[in-house]
Amino acid sequence: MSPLFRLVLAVICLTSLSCKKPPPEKTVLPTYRIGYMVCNSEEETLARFKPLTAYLSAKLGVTFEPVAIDTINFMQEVETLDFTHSNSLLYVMMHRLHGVEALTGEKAGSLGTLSQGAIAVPQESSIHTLADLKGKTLLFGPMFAPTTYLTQLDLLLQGGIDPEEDLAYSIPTGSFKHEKVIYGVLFGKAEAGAVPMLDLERMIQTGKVEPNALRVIAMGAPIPYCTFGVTQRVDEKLARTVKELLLGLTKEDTAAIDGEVVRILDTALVDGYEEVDDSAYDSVRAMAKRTNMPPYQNY
Amino acid sequence: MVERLYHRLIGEKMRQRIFLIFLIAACLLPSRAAEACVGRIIHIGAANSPAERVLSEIIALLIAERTGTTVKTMTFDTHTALYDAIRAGEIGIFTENTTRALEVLGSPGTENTQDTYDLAKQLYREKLNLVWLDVLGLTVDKTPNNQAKNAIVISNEILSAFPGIPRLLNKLAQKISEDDYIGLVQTANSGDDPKTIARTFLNSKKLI
Repeated sequence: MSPLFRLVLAVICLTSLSCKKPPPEKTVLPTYRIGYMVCNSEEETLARFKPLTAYLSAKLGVTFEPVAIDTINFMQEVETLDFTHSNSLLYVMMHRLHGVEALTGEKAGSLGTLSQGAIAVPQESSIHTLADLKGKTLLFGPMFAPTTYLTQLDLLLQGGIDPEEDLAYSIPTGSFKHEKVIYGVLFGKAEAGAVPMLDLERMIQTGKVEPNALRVIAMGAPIPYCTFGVTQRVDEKLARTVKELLLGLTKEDTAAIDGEVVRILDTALVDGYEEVDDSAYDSVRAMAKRTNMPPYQNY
Repeated sequence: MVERLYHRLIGEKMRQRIFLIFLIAACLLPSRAAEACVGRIIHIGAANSPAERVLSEIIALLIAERTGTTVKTMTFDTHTALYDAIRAGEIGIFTENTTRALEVLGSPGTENTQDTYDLAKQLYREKLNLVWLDVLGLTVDKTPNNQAKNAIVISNEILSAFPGIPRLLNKLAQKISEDDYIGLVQTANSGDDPKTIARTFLNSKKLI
């Protein structure tokens, strides 16, 4: 055996063996993945929902793993998830294509478990009707967003405006697209915007936007806001327990995260959770059909 | 100075052995999990002809400007190489004509232009999971009664992940007339940069 070979063997042995005792075996808890749709950014989504996830883990004595997933990739990941947290359009798609069932509706803002999308312009704009939008610029939000794309696309088509023909539209890049749509209209990047009313409400409350800075020229009907769903691979007992825990959450409930105790609902920017029936999403289904959007696309 | 000392104290052979040891040790260290990919890129493929490259740049620029999606164009030396990449899922959008499409699938055409298009559309969906969008406003003369139609073809995956894009590309299809196409080909053959040709065309049609 050559000296070099002996030396190499010695290094291999040193790095693979250890003088330390092996750590005691940990009890491995069952792990369940919750897919959280990215709202503004991956970082923000995880920061919002980690306390809730930790709370569920502690209450059930299992491990819930939060996974932030972009809307574009969400449908590809559904089969790897146990629970989902998404907007209503993604829920409709998952329900139809993967059998995901709604657990609870999420309450936030003045409309509770509902949300609305509108087409808005600067207060001083000369645009007052949908017809006035012809030839103008408009900002949409992300394509899977019910209240900053789907609703407004439906409003335009119902109002005889073809965005491809009659508008010069664009979608912001990067994160925080909802806010970028609103800022884009305010600061003149576009003459109109597909404004999600809950985001506008929050931006007004936090002083980012003046209350009368924008004027709504068309408003969509209220539709379900975000939704907790359960996939087919979760047993009914666990699903029921998770549902009860969500419904029972109050503003006073806390969780310990990274050495800090935080209020779960406040951190999630949520007011609570309510029972929801699948039929509540029929309005979203109707819009998706009218606009040739998933899960009813036909090309 | 340290380096000179190092070279003086340790001979060449020993330096090689030390390097080998470090290499093996590095291989034994636990590897870090790969960073998760952020965002998604749409790849548009084209065979290496000036006209196809220009069309792919037009599609790419339109999608990028209007939807904020990251797009990359890829050029292939042959159509065979292009289709290898398509089948491997590396290409999400490309352009095709009905004559070549049926050759790819080894299927006989029909005597009627619309029937041939419908057949290509059906077979591409069934066999390749690809969707033919609306016909581009141009044709390639084949026979007086049967002209090959060109269209943008999109994978089902991209169509589902970016639901606003088919609508956008169908509008583009309406905007490219036969005269437009002839002009684009002539400009492309003259050696102008495909990206520049694409931007000029889209600006002229007020699409961006």
